Amino acid sequence: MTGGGQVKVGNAQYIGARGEQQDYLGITDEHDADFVRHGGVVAVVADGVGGHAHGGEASQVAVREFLRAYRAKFRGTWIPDALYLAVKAANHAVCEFAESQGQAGNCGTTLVAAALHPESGSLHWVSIGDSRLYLLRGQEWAQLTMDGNYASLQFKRVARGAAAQDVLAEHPDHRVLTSFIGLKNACEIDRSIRPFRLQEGDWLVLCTDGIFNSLSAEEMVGCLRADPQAACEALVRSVLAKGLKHQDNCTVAILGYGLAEPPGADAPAREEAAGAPVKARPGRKWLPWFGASVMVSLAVLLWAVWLGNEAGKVPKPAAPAAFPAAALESAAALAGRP
Amino acid sequence: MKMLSATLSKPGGREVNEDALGCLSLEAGAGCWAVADGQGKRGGGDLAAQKVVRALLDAFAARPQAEEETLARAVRSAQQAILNLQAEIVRNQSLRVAAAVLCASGGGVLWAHIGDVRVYAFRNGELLAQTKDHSVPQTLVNAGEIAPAQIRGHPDHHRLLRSIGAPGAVQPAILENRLMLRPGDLFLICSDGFWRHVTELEMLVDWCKSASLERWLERMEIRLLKAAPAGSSDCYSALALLAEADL
Repeated sequence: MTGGGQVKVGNAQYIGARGEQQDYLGITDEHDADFVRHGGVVAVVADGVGGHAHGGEASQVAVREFLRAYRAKFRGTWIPDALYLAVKAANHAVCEFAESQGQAGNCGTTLVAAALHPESGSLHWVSIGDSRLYLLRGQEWAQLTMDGNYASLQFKRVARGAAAQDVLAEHPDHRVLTSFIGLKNACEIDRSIRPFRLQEGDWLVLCTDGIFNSLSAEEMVGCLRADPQAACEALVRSVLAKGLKHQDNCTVAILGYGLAEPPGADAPAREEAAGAPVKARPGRKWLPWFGASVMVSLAVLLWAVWLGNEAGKVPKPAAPAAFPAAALESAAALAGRP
Repeated sequence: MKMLSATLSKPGGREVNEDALGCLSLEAGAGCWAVADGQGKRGGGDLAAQKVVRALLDAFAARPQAEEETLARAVRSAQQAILNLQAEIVRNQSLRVAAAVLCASGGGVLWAHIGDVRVYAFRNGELLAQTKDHSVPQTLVNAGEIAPAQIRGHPDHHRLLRSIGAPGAVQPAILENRLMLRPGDLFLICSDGFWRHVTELEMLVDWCKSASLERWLERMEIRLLKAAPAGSSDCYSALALLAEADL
């Protein structure tokens, strides 16, 4: 087992052609040595279920509650148990939120989370819905999660001999989710029950379907250069460059384990992205990450506007006037970077 | 130490399943597990694969020791079975079988293979050992001309350099030293129709999510089904083994 490798993180978002960003993400503080020792570094990405009410709020509620519950884990609690309990807590919170809005059963979100425990060099993950976790090891790219959708159900039926292979042919219903956060009855959770041994140089990529439906595996792997923050931004830029008319919200978080320092790297790129070093408050350490994420998103949005004007392809994003002027300044500065 | 097992064998996109597998569990943790992948230009690959599995298990039953001599004898017996089949029953000299066999006794395991049926051994969530195919792409890997990952999808992947049924003395590769089992040791014996679509990394990932060998095989089969479009896949077989401490 390889243990003790350094963890580097990154994240980025883009609203796409939608009127609202319904994705959300959070990452615990990798510098909180005390927590990292037993809880590791956790990244979580959620994508509000389209076609249902309050998708944006659902993903926010889920991520916040997931991280609150995970951070409350006891030192002795096994990471997979803590992840499972955090998912249950997130599910409960989203169900309560839906009820409070009079939308019980009609409000939900996907959720994928990865917990990287650097001391043991191990990984655990949990997923509901179709947001994904990928691993890049050397040149090898593997999807760790199985989508919680109708297609997966059909594959399972074929494997069990309950259906013939022709049910696997492309069908519009295949992307319909069969499990997501917000269903009151227990739904299928895709999760690890044994530690996955990491190797130094491993990249873990958590993303919503706005990323993997727009980019091929080769295109995604091609973006994983330099450091995780630069890689996240490269992924979102690649999505933007596609100029897809109906581009969905896209969100990505990356955990890098024992990555080699990119040549000439002096300071973590995420600090540049956030405009200031991250100083987390106890118990709410995901918030600065969201702040950083928003700023990166804004930067990408502004870049998208520029690209849209230049290429005439990318739809104009929501007006940025709703964001604080300070954030816009940081974002504008970031947008000016090559 | 005892071995738990689970199996999977399907024709994929073929009309006939030319793979075969077999398990033999004896007392005191001794056992033998084999997977064979047959091929014949005019049919008979299925029968040939079944004959090989039977010959391998019978040879172990006659001398249930995880030793080199047992495995060498078992493969010779399988070779004779195929030569007989070629000459007397199907009258088809083109019958060939790739196979792998793993046997256990006295708390240790030993395996042998010929062709491109593989044995994987995993310990503590890591790949401990795997067999090297007797194939053209593996030779290119040995020569440093291609990377191991390029074996999958290589146009010459089906060109075997050794197989049961080929004229002359059969030459299996036998593990040099017995591997002493530890609880949790995991093995996968699988035909090329299986491993071509499931990478070693994916095998490890799926084991992390699986509470049983059956679920492990199912998860890997789903990857295979996704990777190989319906109807286009070869026959595929896999035999999973897990070492468990005696109570």
